[in-house]
Amino acid sequence: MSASPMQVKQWTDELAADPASTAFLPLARAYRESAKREAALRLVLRGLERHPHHVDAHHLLGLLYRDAGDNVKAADEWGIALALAPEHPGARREMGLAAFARGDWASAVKHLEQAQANDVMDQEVRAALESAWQRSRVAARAAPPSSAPAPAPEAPLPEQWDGGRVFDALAAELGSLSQERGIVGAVMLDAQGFVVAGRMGADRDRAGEISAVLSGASSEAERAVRHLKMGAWKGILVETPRAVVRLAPTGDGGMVAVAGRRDVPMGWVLRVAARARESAERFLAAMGGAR
Amino acid sequence: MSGYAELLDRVNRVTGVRGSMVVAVEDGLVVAEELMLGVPGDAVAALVASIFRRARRSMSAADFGDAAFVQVDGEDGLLFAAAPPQLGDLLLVVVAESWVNVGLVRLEAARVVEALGG
Repeated sequence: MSASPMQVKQWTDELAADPASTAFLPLARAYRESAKREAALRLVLRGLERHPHHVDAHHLLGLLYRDAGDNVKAADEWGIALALAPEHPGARREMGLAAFARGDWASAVKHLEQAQANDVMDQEVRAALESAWQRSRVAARAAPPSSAPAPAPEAPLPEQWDGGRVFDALAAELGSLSQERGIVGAVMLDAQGFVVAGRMGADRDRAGEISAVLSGASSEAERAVRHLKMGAWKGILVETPRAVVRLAPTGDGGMVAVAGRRDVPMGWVLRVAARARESAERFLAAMGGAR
Repeated sequence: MSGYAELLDRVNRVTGVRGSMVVAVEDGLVVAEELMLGVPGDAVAALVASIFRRARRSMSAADFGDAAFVQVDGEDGLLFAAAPPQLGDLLLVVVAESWVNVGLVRLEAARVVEALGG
């Protein structure tokens, strides 16, 4: 619903009387709706200087950047909004649609499923989600290694697909790394947070329990280092009183996680993690799934 | 607040450190900051706090205990977040160059934290 001239005047007066007022937000929205994009942008940027944690302002700034065609900055702003308020429906929706637009089906499904749960009547989200589901399934089934010969039309898929052997090799390598001195787990996670292979935990396998929590760490680390102009993220190290855990990114947007007991040297854990990452990359290359 | 500023200043004296902050772990709000010009403190604080909360939940799920220290490595820099018991619900966040002496930063951070706790 468009703002009335009376409302615009009221917000303008309010902001003039008190520059710290949050009236900048509805006023900027009104400007955006009237195609006064530059004015809206200036208002939101000034507002965020005074209210840097205003989630809706970050969301609106993302929309303004997207209007201007700057999708990277837009995603950054929605990412900040989600970091401040993970349940923010608008930011979640826009992140999903942005991922869909750039063909990142896995990420699109992850965000759009939540967006759909927030608003089951959103037809644009529903259509994008259904399409992303279909395309992600097609992508998962497609693409044998480019060097492989094309299968005969009648050839049954199981005889052509070598994924089982490749997976066994990955599972064996991660299993072997888990047995190294002081190591209590080595696991590979995909971009959606699913466990691909490996186990984590000294007594029982907790890989499944931690993977869902860790799945978003990759994109958060990426955004944090991008804000600081630190290049790509290379890894995350977490220390607890009982363990040292190293996370390292893989080529499919997922990661490997390796945990060592606190009493083993940190450098040793880092080296085992580097080997786990090499195993994961070999697996992805063999499956034709690395980006 | 001035106590925080003085202590952050000590961390920032380590060669290669670009700045440091005290950040609330639950909402990522900056409590105190001493940053070089151009370091976007608010955005980084929100993201680092979110990474830390995620690390804490995952470590708890794995029965590894509470996360006390998180380091994010970029190609051209490092981020540290330390959450020792003395700081309660606050994180000490340090932004540094990739070539920084990590051990020295951590040592200075530990001194700072000890002083804050005292």
